[in-house]
Amino acid sequence: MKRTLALLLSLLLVLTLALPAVSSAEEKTQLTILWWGSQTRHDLTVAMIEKFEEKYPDIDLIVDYSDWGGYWTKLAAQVAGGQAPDIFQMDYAYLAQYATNNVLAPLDTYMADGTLDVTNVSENIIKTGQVNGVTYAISTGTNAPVMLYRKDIIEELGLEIPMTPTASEYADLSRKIAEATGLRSTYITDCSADILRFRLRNYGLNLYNEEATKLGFDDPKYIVDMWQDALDAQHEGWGMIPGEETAATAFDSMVNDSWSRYQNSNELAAYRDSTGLDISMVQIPNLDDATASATYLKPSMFWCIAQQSEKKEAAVKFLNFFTNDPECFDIIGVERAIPISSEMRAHVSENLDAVGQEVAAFIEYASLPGNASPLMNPDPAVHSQVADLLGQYSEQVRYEMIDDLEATALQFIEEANEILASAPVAE
Amino acid sequence: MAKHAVQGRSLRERMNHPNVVGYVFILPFITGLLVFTVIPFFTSLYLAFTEYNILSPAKWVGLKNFHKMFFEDKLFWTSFWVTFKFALIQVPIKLTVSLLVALILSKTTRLTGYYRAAFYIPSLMGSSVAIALLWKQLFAFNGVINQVLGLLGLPDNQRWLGDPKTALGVLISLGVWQFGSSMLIFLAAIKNIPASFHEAAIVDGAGPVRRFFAITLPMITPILFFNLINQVIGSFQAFNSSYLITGGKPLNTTLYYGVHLYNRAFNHYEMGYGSAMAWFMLLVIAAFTALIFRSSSAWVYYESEGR
Repeated sequence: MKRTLALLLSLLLVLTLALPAVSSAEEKTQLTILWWGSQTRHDLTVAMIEKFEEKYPDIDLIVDYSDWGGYWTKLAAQVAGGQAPDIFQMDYAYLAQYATNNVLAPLDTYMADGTLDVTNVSENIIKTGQVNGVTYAISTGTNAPVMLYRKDIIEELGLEIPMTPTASEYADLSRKIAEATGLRSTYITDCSADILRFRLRNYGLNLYNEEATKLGFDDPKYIVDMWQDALDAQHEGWGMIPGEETAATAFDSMVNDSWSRYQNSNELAAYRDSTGLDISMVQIPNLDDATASATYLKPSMFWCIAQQSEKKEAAVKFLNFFTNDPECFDIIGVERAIPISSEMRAHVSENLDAVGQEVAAFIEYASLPGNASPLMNPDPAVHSQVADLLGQYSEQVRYEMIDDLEATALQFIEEANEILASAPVAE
Repeated sequence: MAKHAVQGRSLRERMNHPNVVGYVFILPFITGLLVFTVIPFFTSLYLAFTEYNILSPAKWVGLKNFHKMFFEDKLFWTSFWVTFKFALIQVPIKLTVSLLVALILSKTTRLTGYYRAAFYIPSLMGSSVAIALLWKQLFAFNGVINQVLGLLGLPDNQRWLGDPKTALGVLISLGVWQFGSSMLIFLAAIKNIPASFHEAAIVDGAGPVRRFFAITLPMITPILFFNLINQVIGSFQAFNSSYLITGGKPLNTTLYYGVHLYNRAFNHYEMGYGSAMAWFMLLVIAAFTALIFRSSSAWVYYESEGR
């Protein structure tokens, strides 16, 4: 009995030791890949990766994914542990931070020798993946911030929403919808850094100055107006009262809480899939006295290669597959936004499903002159601190704890500028 | 050791030495302790004096993190007082409830076994993510609690989790609901009190209340002491309910220390600052524990000491 057990245990030991050896004997290059996204994206990406492995039988991709919230913790922990995934998704907001901390591998040499073929990609799009003139990331596609809305409700009530609503048109619709359905607006009461950015862009300003050493504006009125609009909407009954949200997830919020919501154009399919509702999109509302569009076209996300990776050549093959291979886009369509290669754009437009066509048409519309204003620089590493700070003040305003909005706005500006000034300068 | 080991004994002989067997058996535990507790413990002590954004190597900054904590970070003190308040309210309520339930369950009837299991179930599931989310749904604006209130004709528009006055209370109620483990310990202690004490008191004409205060309570003070320390430590380290249910909102009234620490460390990538916060909390917990220990001689009764 004892002997059998010992034998079994040693067998087990031998097996566990031998297993990795067996798989490496097949001489496949193993790459790890990490991304964030919804279930829709996970399913499509896994299918796309299977296609890639079919075409490159010597490469084996080990997939891992997460939701947006957990992603940045997971990625940072893996990087710190020296276990960075060979290939990973990157966001415009984090690009500068990861690039200046030497986490990302430069891609310029691969682009020069053609292993990452960018002949059909416009210079402007490549630039979005650059930090200090070095290309660290390749965009997965172009998208734009959008206002998702409940088309079913708009139609049922016999209303109409313009493709580019003004703030007062948006408020009118919200009032009518709140009266008829009880659904309110969470957009008008959001008061986040993103919303402030939209409002600033309407006047040709930006959240940060060129070098992100301070905020891009001094006048507190932009913040005060945003807060005042939120309070007015709350008082008039069409803005969400803080604490009355019922949704457990962002998807749910379009079912239970709000008739419209700010997201990105490539997320339309995910919202339709998970709510089962007829959701459509228009542009972000522009303020009534806007001089420029709030909307911008941006890289929806990037693929990056880790500086730590020892298999960069194989990883570049995947980036190239994603950028230039029609078979990749046959599977994923425009879920990671409209392809950056003009050839792939033409290819996908032929076989898009209904949602994909809507997304493509939207980007085309946003690309028309005047419908979008130029993209800002990537956010600084301390953006999350600035955004949290604004969130703190906005919450107090929405709970009506603050009487003097202007003084509070000035205080935010001062504190935000302090954070930006004391931030470590990117080398 | 080493001297004996080299004396040309065979491997088998050496492996059969009782000590070796012992070490082999505790090896998994020791490994876990080193990798997940001891090494991170000292690493975080070092990191507390550095600026470390995870992506680049840590930079020594001396006491800067502590200066920032005490004099610059407003939310640091907010979160500290929230946690203090949470512990101050939750611990006495939880101890009272668990003691009461233990008293009731100490009477043996046919269904006692089932009741004990039923009351313990929340504690088994209590710290899980699922229960926190369940709590969130129960107390949501359109949740079961408001619906039941509506059915009873009471106002059903209370923002339980959105109102700065009630949010912390909801989280405390979740904590109190998980009284099972302290209840079981109380129950065991109550059962351990010799029946003769109570019999003698009954003969002397003492009622149940008198017997509780004169016999049961003094006899279980060592267990009360143990539960108190456990609960105080647990409350100061609370994280799950706030992180999952309210995210520290509204107006930071549920921003536990642990949640603020997590936000700074993992959302802002300020690992050095997070480590410094963790070490400060360690000192606070140590101080409270020492205080409770000091006070124990005044109220804890040990039969063996015969005082």
